[in-house]
Amino acid sequence: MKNSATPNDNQLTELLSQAKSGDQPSCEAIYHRFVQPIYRLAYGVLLDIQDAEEVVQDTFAYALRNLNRFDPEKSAFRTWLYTIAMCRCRNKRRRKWLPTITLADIAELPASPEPLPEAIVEAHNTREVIWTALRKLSPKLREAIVLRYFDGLSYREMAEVLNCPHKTAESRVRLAHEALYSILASQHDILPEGVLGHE
Amino acid sequence: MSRHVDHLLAAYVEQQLRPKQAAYVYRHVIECPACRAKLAQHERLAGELRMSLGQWPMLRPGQVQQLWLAASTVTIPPANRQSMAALLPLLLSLLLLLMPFTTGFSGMIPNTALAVTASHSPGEIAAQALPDMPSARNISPPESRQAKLTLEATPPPSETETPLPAKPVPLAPANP
Repeated sequence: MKNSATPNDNQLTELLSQAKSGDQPSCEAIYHRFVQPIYRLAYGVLLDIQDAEEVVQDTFAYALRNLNRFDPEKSAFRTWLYTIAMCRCRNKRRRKWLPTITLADIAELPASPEPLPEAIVEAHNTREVIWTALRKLSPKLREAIVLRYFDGLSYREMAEVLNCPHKTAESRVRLAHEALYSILASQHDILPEGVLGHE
Repeated sequence: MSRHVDHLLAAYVEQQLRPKQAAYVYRHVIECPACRAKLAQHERLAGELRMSLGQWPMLRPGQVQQLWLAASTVTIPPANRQSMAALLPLLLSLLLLLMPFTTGFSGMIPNTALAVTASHSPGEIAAQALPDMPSARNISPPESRQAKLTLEATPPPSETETPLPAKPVPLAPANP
């Protein structure tokens, strides 16, 4: 699906065609253009700095090696890159959780894995509060809300990245929004001003 | 006053309602202070999410460069390798197409020619290359070379021809 071409798009197209022929400066320019959004996406989904860095590395190593597989007629480059990153994030989460959780660990897990209220009280910072609430969402809902807000993706683009129907992407975002609202509203008295405070 | 619209507020903020539904919510929140306050909270949450997820965390310049070095060492293949990889399926299919022809041709080569080819010894080759050298001539007996040349000149015998019976060789006297 092609969008109307902007100067940035034209520049990216040129960079991509040069990168496909193995031009290293073009590859580096593409990397610098997308590295921060990919990192934010990976951190938002995985909530771990080291994992996010590994996902950034894997994503660019794969994407720049397989630029010939990118079809501009099918999707935007940004969406293609986010799809790769999301796939890496899911793999990382799967590998991280499957072998590490044992029955003994499960028995020792607290009823709710969220940080203690004292920690939230100490975090007099809206961002901290938001990130703490994000940790309580299920992975699918967190993926959806991160994709929606970290780079302003449309529902169509989200559906493409998440590999799900458009309506599913919409409902996940709505559910995530409602869940975050409930979490923050339930902690209303200990939240700093600015997040769901009284009018 | 119409019914409260709490259940629609998240979808309203996330721009998921149809125009008719969105207009209904809008009309209701103008009249209803409770729903208006909740809508303001939903919108604030969306704003905070946009701020939190859209700007943080950021990689430091040193980290950006470090990750680039790590990713690029395994990333960029040279252009000719890419083109060779693209040609690989074509080359394989050509090889598969030619394979029956190459195996078929080996059966069509005449037996005599094969025999002559097989009769080449290193000594003969050396004699051909260096005819003046006595050592080469010694290695390659002239009779066998003559026989080889004769065989190359004559066409291979057809299968219909019956071979002539071999002449009996008279025994030579031991000592005249």
